[in-house]
Amino acid sequence: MATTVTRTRKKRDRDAIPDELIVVDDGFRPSPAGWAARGAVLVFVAVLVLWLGPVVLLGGEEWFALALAAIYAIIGLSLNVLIGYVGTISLGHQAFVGIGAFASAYVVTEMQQPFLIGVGLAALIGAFQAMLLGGLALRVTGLYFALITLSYGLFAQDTLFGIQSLTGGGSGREAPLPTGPDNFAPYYFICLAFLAGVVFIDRRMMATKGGRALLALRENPRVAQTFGIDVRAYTVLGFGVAGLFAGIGGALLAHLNGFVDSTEFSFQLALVFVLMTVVGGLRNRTGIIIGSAFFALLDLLIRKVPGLEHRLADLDTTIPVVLAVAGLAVAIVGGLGRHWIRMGIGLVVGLIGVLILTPVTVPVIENQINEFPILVPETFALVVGPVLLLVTLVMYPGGIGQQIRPIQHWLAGHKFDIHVGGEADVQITDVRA
Amino acid sequence: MAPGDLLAPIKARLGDRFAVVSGALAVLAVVLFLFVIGQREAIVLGLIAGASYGLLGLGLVLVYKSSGVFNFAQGEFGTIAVFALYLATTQGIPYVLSVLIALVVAGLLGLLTERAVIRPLASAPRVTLLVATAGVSLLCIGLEFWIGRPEPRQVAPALARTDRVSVFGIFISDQRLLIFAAIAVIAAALAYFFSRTNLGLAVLAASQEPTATNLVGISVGRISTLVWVMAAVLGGVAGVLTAPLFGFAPAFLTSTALVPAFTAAVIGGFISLPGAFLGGVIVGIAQSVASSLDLFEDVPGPQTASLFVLLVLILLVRPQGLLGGRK
Repeated sequence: MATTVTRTRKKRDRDAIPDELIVVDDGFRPSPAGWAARGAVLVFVAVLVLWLGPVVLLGGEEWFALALAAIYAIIGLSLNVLIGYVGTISLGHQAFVGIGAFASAYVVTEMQQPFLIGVGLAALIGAFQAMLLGGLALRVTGLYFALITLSYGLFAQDTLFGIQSLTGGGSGREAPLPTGPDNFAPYYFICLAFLAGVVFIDRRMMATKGGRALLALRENPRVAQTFGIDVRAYTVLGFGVAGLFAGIGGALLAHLNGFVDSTEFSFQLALVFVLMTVVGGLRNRTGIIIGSAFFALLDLLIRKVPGLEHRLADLDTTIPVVLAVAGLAVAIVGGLGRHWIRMGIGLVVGLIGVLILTPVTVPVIENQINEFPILVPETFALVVGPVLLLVTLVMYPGGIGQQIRPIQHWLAGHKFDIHVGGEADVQITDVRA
Repeated sequence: MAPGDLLAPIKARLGDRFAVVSGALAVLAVVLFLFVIGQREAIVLGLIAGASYGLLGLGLVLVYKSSGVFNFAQGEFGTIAVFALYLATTQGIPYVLSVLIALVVAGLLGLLTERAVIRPLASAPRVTLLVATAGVSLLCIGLEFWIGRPEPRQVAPALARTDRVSVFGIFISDQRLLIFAAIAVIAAALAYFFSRTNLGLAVLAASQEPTATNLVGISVGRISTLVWVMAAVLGGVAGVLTAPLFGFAPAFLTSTALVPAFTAAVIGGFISLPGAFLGGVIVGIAQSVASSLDLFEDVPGPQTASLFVLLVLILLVRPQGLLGGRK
């Protein structure tokens, strides 16, 4: 991509767009009406998040889910620091979050300190444990480090969170909601405020020396070192920031649930975190916030969209139809193109669908289909999430962030260009392996 | 004279193998020590558990050796196969035929994974592929929870007798012996495949230099398909053999055996097939000793903790594993 950076350094810092994404400045400046339109969109989004969405659309009843969405966004941004900026993967992020949760619960219930001190200490402890792990990342990189994080997550889940005196062992620990029992509405705004803080820190970090050092590191640690970047210091710094964010997210999560116990922080939760961050789009804060909120609100979405829950329950008739039609279509196309394997698979899948649809002929399957379980919202998330992840990885490596890049570009005062943020800009080619 | 000088002639003589030999001696010494202090049962139990890890680890090594990918879906290949086995046996299909069906289902899953996920990402970085296989695994788990519901089930073992062989007072069921036999046969077959057959050499060539391999007329795409189907069938074998021991539930292999299997493969060097078995045994013994020693009585989750410590230690001290050779 031929890039000429003509804007001043100051301006670029304010935009905080990584250099590779800066597009040629064509001297275009929006008209006053253009600025007004951009402002109106931003104001609308703010109103939607603060009032229209929670109060009007959801009738002021879903504050818990909304607060959860804000917390997931914080956790997503934390994971983004590791995967997007530092360039290592963490499959043990439930440990990062869980340590924050238990720390805050301990400080608030055992030490009788106020909520904010709990969150602050949780953030510090989260940063500390992440930096310890970061030290390990200096020696062990790539796939092997992914394995270490996975094992670390399980170790935290079974061993660290099982220490009776700190976490209350299997019985867990209370973490009261600071805004009073079941009063989730103000808590949502507290979470939003923390999210804003996290976004601000992230933005400042990426706009300054440290952020650029991290991006250089991610591309190639050796080259970065040649340019005088302290690889060790910045890797540990990146981990520290990720741990800080995760600690805040964990503390907020603990107080939202009112209770922490170790079974919450399972490996599957860590996979969901990875999922929402990658689907959201690495290195795109807005994309990650949308992606994380989407996964947090999936449950709510299914309940609120009219008829969707009902339709999911009907899936035991929809699925065989889909199987039959899709399978036979693949078989025909495969046969025409002489892809015999494809045709065979299509035929098998299609025939299974047809067999399920014709209960009279195959009593064996008929018995099964009557017991075919309906798709409940929780399971729906477990099925749809991975599909979204795979589609993102295979077809749109930039995730949601890639899709919204043209809008962001326009909002930042450029001409609207649907092709901004193409695949080349956002390809996940950066994780050290 | 410093102790280092005393070792110098031995070092010179063994060359590269010095580390391997000293590692093996250290492992042997630890096992002997445990034996002496009365941890015999723990050693036998660890050996038994380690065999299951090693079996799953073989599939991981196969994929890593031939495509450089950490396959997080390996456990789910096995679990899906077990579900297929369960469905088939409950329909009254004979056991042997049911096992065949289960392995075919696993193979198809491997084929599908390769075609839909692995091949489009062939040029992507390895860590992206890791996330993708984790996605496949999660999708399988989701489907299992949906269709299989989160309840434990039982499936019949291939060999039912449990009291034929006993070592230090611990009975080893025939199914366990079958697992040992399966590991030996599979590891030997794979070692033969990679070292003596043209196809095996082609697989290694495709992993080292895909472009050049294509140029000499070997289809890298087909090799990739072959490897993933083989790995999935291996996962299926692991699932079908281990599920009867404890029963099964959705995601049972991923949650109980995947991380130990990875650790086993790392200890073994990740490209060594016997190494996967050796690593599995080491992991199994470490876990069972950690949970039976009085020393660790107050540590919650001793098995996971020992796994984490073992993994960190091996990666810091000898990242190429015991049998991995020089990187």
